[in-house]
Amino acid sequence: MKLNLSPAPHVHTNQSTRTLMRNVLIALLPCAVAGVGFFGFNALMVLVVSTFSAVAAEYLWQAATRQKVRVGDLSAAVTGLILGLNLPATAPLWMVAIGSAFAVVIVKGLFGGLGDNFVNPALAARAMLLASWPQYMTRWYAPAGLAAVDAVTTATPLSNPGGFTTLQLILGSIPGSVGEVCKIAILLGFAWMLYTKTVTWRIPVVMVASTAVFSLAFGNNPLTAVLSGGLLFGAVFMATDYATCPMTAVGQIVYAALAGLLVAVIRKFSDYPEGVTYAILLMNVASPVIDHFITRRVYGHGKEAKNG
Amino acid sequence: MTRTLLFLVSCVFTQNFVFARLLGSSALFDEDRRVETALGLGLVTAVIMTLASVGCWALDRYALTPMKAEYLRVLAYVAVSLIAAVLVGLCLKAAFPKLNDALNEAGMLIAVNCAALGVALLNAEAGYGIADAALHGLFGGLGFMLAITLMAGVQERIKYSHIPEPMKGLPITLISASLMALAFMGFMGIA
Amino acid sequence: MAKWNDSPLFRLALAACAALVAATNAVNGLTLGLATGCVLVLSGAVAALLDNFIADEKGRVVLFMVISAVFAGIAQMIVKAVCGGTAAALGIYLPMIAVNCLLLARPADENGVGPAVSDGVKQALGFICLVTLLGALRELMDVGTVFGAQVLPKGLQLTAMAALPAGGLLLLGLLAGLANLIKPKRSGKEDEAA
Repeated sequence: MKLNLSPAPHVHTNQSTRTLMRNVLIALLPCAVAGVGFFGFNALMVLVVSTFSAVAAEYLWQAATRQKVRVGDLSAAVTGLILGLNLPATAPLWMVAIGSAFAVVIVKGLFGGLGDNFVNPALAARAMLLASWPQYMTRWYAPAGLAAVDAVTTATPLSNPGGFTTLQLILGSIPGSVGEVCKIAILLGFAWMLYTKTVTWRIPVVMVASTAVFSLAFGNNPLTAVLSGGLLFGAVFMATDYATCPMTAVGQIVYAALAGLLVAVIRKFSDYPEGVTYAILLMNVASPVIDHFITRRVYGHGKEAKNG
Repeated sequence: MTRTLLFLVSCVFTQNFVFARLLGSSALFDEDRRVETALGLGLVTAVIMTLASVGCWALDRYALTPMKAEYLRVLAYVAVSLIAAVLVGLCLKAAFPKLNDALNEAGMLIAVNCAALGVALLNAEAGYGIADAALHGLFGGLGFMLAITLMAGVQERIKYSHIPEPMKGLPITLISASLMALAFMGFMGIA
Repeated sequence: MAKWNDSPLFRLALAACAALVAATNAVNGLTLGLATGCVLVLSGAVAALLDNFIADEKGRVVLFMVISAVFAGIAQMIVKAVCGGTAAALGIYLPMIAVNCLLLARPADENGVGPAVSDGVKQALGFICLVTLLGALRELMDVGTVFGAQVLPKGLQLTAMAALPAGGLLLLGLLAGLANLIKPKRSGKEDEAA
């Protein structure tokens, strides 16, 4: 019998991947709707282009490399949508398309496809876009509803703490990237994913708690810290990506706790106002090492096994 | 104390020797290195870098500058790094022979010398005193350790990935390093 | 040495990797490439001459390092004298040639000066081309010029990331993948001919 080794997620058929991805897409819908509601037509275009480009890029890549085309499993659509939701509504559409292609081809495709990437594709693409075109990644619209075509650009809650009420932060009538602003929408999505057992509660809960604790330690209001920026969105939709987080429960807790710490540190001390992207990426990079040390103990490959 | 802490953060994260400065980057390209070996090699490198930093500083202070022989600097520094590496190697051979074997693999040896020479040159450029030079070597080495350990983990992870044939080996490692360097950019501005 | 892949292209890529921080535009790339190339060839020749006196393999590596350190020091002085600005831009990566040459150098054997020099020249040329190409591509993508000549419309910036180490690594990785696509890796004939 030939043993097939592969990293998580251990999905076996197109069908079960498709169900998983479909549930994620459903979970993302409230955020998408809220985002378009607040930021208007531009936001809608960003989402459409990001999703479409991702699917197209994956189709072309799989066709060009003569693999079985699996865009039907919806994983590219998910990656594309998540990337779009991570971008400001002011993002130029050509940039969005490049980002999606990068995520799907370079971060995922070159490593072998679904489940083979070691960093979150949407986040890596976002970091790449930020490094390549910082001037386009940091212009934020104030929410002005569907007529936001010539809206004013302004500062986000992270750059302007205290400029918004808690209610505004929760509802999302604040500047920010398309999907991150409406916390209620995010929580609705989270609830759906918990209900369909698509993600574990562990990572988002621990990461948010950790960020709150460390933000407090660094002298900021923990509630504001949790409700500002992309923390909630990142903790729920990106830190939980099975391919890029540790496989054990303990490992996941360590991963999420450290991610929260990094968010607080990067927000407080670095040049960037937001730390979630890099915090999660860094923990993605560290997650194999976490797995290396924590999995071993759990499965008894250490000293205990020699005695037993 | 804060200054030392900031210096540590700068050397290990913000200006990581491998991901930001690409000094000793050739150490990233061993596909079969185990995580524990990487940790050990990293520590050894930190020791070598610290010794080299101090040695080069002393050489600069007491020999090169008084004799106005700055033109000999490259040669002198390389010599000191070599000596540091050999000395540490001898100690290693006695105490941890397997680690010594790992160290002596061609790629690793060159990388270590790269890092040691690099930090010594950086110290000279910045005009550090002996304490800062030593710390730079130590902290830089810790950053090196972090980098190659993380890479060992990533290599372990992608071992079971279905990497397309042309990308296998060096290309995918370079891409991985690129993504890791991208992630490390998150520390920009901290210290 | 067991795991060290002796393929010349591999060595080339590794050495280019070490040069990535400095080779951010065509001029820097070319200068670094030329300097490295000269040091490599000269060191290889001298080392081959002296090789016969040293039997131990590690001893040979040490010998090569010392020789290339001498030549690298000289190269640094020459570059500083000829184009000080570029020397300043290259920073410590110019003297680092001393160690980077080792990455390019063929593992020592007893075949004498001739093969050592010819291998050195081949590697040097390859390196010069690779690093200059990388520099040029990165310069093109970052500021739209090549060797200072404006190629892309002014104000159009392809991507700022190209000038960063992460971008350089990505570019090198893609080039390496492309090279593998064009020329299948591990073709035995190629390794023996090198």
